[in-house]
Amino acid sequence: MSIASSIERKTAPAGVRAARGSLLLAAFLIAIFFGVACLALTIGRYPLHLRDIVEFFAAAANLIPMPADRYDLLHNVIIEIRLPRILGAGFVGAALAVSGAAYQSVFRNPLVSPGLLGVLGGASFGAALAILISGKWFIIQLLAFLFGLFAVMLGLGIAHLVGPASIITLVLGGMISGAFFTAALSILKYMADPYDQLPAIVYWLMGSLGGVDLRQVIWLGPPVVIGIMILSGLGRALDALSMGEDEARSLGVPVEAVRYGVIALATFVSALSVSIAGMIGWVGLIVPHFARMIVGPCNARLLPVSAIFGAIFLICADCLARTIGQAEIPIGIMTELLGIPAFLLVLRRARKGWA
Amino acid sequence: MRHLVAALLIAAALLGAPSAGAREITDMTGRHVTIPDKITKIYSASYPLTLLFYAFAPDLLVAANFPLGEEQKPFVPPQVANLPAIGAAMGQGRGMNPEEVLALHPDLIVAWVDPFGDTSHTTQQFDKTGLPIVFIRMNTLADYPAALQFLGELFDRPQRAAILGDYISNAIAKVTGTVATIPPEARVNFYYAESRDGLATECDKSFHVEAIAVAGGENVEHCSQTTHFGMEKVTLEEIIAAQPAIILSQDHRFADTVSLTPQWRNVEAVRTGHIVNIPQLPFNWLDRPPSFMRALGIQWLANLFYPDLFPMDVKAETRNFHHLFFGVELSDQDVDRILH
Repeated sequence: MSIASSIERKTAPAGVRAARGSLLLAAFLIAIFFGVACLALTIGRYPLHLRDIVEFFAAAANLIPMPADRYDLLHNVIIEIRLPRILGAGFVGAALAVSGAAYQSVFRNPLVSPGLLGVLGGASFGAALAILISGKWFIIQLLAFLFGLFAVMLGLGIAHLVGPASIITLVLGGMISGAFFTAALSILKYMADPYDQLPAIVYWLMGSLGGVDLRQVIWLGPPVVIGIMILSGLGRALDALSMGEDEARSLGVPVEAVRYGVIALATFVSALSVSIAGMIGWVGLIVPHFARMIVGPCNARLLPVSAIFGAIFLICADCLARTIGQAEIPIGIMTELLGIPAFLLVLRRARKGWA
Repeated sequence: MRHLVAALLIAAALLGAPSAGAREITDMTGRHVTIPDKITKIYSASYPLTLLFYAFAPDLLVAANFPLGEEQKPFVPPQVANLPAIGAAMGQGRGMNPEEVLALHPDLIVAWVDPFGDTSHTTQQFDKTGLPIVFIRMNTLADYPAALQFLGELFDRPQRAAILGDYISNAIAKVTGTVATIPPEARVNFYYAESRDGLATECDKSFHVEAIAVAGGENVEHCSQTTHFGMEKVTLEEIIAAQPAIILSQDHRFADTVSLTPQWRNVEAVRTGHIVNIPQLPFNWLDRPPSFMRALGIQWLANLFYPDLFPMDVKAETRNFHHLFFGVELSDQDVDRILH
């Protein structure tokens, strides 16, 4: 109901004003994102004051002199350790949130997260397999990514075998595929050397942004941003789809193409993020709800806003994860701790939000 | 029907009555256990204890817990390499099937009291087999001489137990004697790196790094262990702030690449090239699994930390240790392979 009305609103003559509002909102959110990212740069276990960081950037811009070894140390901590991690958290958070929002729209279900079609199960299996056969970072990430995609393809394949592609058969296919890879992962854990490989698998499954370096950020960033942009571009079509297949067809929307295109893109970006950071739960489920509370259910706006929210949320969660305890709290645990109470609040306030 | 009842009664009588050659002992947790007089076959449900049997009495084992890698086989007694691997009573990984244990007809099951004092893993799985279970307390390396003495009496092999137990208590005495003379401010700061990114470690109070503390190392990570598993995550900037003088690495892929990883350049140990691979053959010298290999590990570490105070010919000691514990004579290449 509310989606239909929001579409009417968007197509109404007052669209110009709405567009200006969107622009303002976008500018505002991007400003918050940069603010949070800059703040995150000052947080960490190496004792640095805000002054050190300001001085470092001043020195980097050749404004003030700084001893070479001190500059090197600050560069090490700020640019090589903190920055990639913050950017990594941003991209991973954005990827998970946008794919979560897209999945929720495609499946017309607010409780859907990016793992629905088995991408997480597949990626964990791929990573564990790589740990058993090789142990190289690159292989782990590659196999996590490929098996994440493969699990979803398997899920879609099963859905087609079961019957005419509907949301129910897709969900069932995803469940079967996910369960299959979870079982396969258990077998790998069983076969793993319990004192060497098994700890490595468990460690990977906990999820971490600590291993992200600038190179990875550079190859993670562009595909995620492009994926978000294309998904946002498909927002209108998704809106139509969420009114029901027949309605969408009558509006001239190619239902199958949009559905599979969105699933493919969302799977692609979430598999990419899982391959970099391991299992980080909850972001893809709850962040879209925040976003929906602010901008409503219209996908053309919901998807980009979810992405920015996801980035902000994961950067904040990661800041807490690496500062609260003595040792670092696994980021996956942090997102759950932060996410569950926030989710309850949102659900209470936004029960009306879902059509 | 009557025959069946009679058969059941006879079976119950046979099972219930203590057979001729049985005796009651008290295990190391104070449990009273009735065991056969003559024990020729045992199954060890705990991997660290199984390893001890590789050295103490490999002929008694009916099975191993985990298969040996090809690289481990040359360093252990030959009969160990041929044992079937049927798993262990652990919370994770390759669990075992009690029926498979029964099929091998051990006279007795031995298990350790795990580092958190838990014996339920083992009893839950084996109580139903009806086999006697004897628990051995062997968490810290300092527990080993007493554990060996207990095993020596239990299996009537006191000499072998004494040889191994004496080596371990001498090693501990030598190392702690030296370490006690070193004032706290002169202790070597180390960072214990696990996983291939080197960003997992153990807290200073964790049982995983007990051997390093015995050898007088000062862990830069001050915290209390929360899980059995360990592997606490740390950030690199924390390590830069702590400036460890030595990095002890469990994953050789990390140790081999860290000096090529520019992000680590401001860590003192990396700058000065003090990255040390922890020897893993035939079993890890420090942890995972925690075993009697630590008796060699603490000496190697004390020498590494304080070469002047604790002089030692590491190669000769490695050879001596393998001769004593595994009955294996190492060639020069073997020693080099073990020590990298």
